Amino acid sequence: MAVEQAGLLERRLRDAVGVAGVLAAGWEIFEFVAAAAAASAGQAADLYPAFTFARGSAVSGRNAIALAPSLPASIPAPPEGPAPTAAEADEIADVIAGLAVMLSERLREAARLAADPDDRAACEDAARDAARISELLAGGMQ
Amino acid sequence: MTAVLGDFLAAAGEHLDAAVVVGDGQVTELPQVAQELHRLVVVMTRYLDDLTPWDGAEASGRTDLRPWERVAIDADAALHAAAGHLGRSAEEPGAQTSATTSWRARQLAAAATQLIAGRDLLHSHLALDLHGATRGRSEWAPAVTSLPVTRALTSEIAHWSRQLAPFTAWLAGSAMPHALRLMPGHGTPAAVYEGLASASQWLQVAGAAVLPAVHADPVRAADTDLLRAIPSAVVPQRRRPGPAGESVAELCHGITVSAARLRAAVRGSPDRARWSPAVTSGGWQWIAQAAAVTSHLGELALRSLATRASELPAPPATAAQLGHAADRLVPMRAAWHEVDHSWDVLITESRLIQTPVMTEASDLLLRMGRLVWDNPHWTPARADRAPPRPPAGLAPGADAVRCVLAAAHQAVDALACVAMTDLQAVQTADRAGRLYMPTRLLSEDDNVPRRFATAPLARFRALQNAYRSVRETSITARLALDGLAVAARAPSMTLALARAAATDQSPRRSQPQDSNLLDPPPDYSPFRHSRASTGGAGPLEQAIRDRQVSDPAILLRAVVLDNAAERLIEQEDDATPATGLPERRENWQRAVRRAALLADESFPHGPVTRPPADTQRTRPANSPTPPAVSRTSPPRRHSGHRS
Repeated sequence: MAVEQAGLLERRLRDAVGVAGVLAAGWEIFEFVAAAAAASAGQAADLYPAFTFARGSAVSGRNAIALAPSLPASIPAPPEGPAPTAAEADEIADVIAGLAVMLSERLREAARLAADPDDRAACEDAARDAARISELLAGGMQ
Repeated sequence: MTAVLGDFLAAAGEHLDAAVVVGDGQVTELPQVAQELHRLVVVMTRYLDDLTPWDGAEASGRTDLRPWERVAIDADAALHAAAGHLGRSAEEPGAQTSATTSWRARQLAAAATQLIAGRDLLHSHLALDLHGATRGRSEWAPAVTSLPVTRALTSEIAHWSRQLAPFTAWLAGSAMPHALRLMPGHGTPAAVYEGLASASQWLQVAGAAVLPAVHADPVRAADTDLLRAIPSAVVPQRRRPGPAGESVAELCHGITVSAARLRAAVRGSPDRARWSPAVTSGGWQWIAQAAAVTSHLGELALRSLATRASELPAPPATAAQLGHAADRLVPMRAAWHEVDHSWDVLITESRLIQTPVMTEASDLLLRMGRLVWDNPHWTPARADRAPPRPPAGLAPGADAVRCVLAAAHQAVDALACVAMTDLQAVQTADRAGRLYMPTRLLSEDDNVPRRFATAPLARFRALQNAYRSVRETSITARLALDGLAVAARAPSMTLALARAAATDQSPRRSQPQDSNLLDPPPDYSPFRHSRASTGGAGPLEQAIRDRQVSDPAILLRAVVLDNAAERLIEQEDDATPATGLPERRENWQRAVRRAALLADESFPHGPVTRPPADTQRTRPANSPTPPAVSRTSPPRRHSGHRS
């Protein structure tokens, strides 16, 4: 279920236009990552640290975006789904890591395009948080 | 390794044991021996001076003194008397003639130097504030000023006094032939003999003075363990988790170092929270995440130890005990999670700046992870995950169980310290108006025309309650591990002993007592010169002696009263306002003078102390800490209102 949600968010990010669009998509993705990481953290002891810090980075990224003046007033609510199972934890980590890589790239692009310094700062800060999420959850040995 | 008081006491004891062996034919070196003996006894008096807040006369009117507090005062007075006699003996002409330095004198000098360094170590935990009052500057300060330490230290000094008494008597016996041989034309320096003989008696009195307390309140083994385990307040140098793998023992040692550094790093956090831009919501939240993960790792380590304990023939702790301790870490982790979540909607004007607290918490987390997981390069990243280290690999034997248990204990203790200081710090930050909430996260009913609003009261209360919960659960977990560490005699048991001792405080001098040595008052009173200040007999003691009284108890009482009279006069002098100097400035000067005096009297002549630890802190490449990010457009404080 979380994988489908991630797919939907990825499409929204890919389709986002302009700084405001990327900020809105970024907000949604960070909210999703925070919720999914929190739900997944307790599923596998060896992934608990990665999910815990990834959730923190997601909250940090969302709060960075909250500072951006161009963030649209209305943002769609993040899709909700059931808590993941232990078997899904690795799959979710892969999905989140991929989503975070894409988000980081789009936010860096948006930072270059942003005319408002506060938008630029928000995009740069949020891009770092997204990159951190991908570092934490990128695939590794079993 | 951090120096501990036991290192210095043991070294001093060895030198002392070697010095007091008599009958080796080295009597020709009496002058140097007497001088070094005097120096040693002076150092011993300073230890007791530190322990005794009152002199004998003041103490005699008190009914609240406990046995060791009272006998420390008596032993102190006797040692001062001994030091006075030895000082006069050392100053006699015959004592200055030999240029050679004897082996025995060197042993006594080395013992004194070790004791001086040990006293410096004790004083490293205390500092004087601007008002001249003693303040703790480490978490060990309450233990240093505790009754158990008073018991152990007074007992130790009394033991040395008893060792030195017969030796000094032997020196007295050798004084006469020595003087006749060296100075045949100058007659017999009877004062040398008499001084040494009297000093021997006073040393015997000092040694015997503690006996009432020994019977009423015996020194516990834990007291001695605690005394010897007192570390220097110098923060140990950082041991960076490097690319090379560390053994379990090295990891445990590194965890102890990181925990000590973390405890030191959080000192002063509540004050910094009021003004420092480096104290950020991002930093607090990251610490909460790191604490939750470290708590989890501690729980896993203890469960692995429990498994191992069920396999070992004679484990230092049972599987049930270890499992119980692990259970206590579960609510601690949950509470840290609650703190983490409570920060989701709160921010400060800066988002995240790397701090020393984060660096130390990061090191602690990395090493705990490498202890639990079977990967020497473990980090919180998914790519570095590994299977658990097998219990037999974690703790092959009983000693390793103790070592890993101590590591978990140190980690939990440090996190409890963080919990307590962070609670105070966030309360301070709130009072300073430094907590905000992004307007975007407020409900639509809140019409705030800016991007930030002051943190709503309900949100702050939730955060505060979360911190209170983490404080309570951390203390509970720490208590469980305290008991287990003591039962298992783990290396970290001193943490528990120090905490227990800290609840039983023994009064100490809170004001400089010897500042008069720098500013001698006018000499208008016969009591201006007591044995405490001159080493010679005071007026009352002299009057008693003139009546041919030789009872040591009565003489001791006279000495005490002389000293008390002198101090009373000095207090009156101090009470007279100094012209043109405000009280605050005077207190500051007193504090500076006291520090300078201590440095002057205590600085060792040998390389027995170490330079301060390297304070450089650099984030390791594999650190779990996030990159430091600061907000370029800080919010304005006036936006929004508290509801």
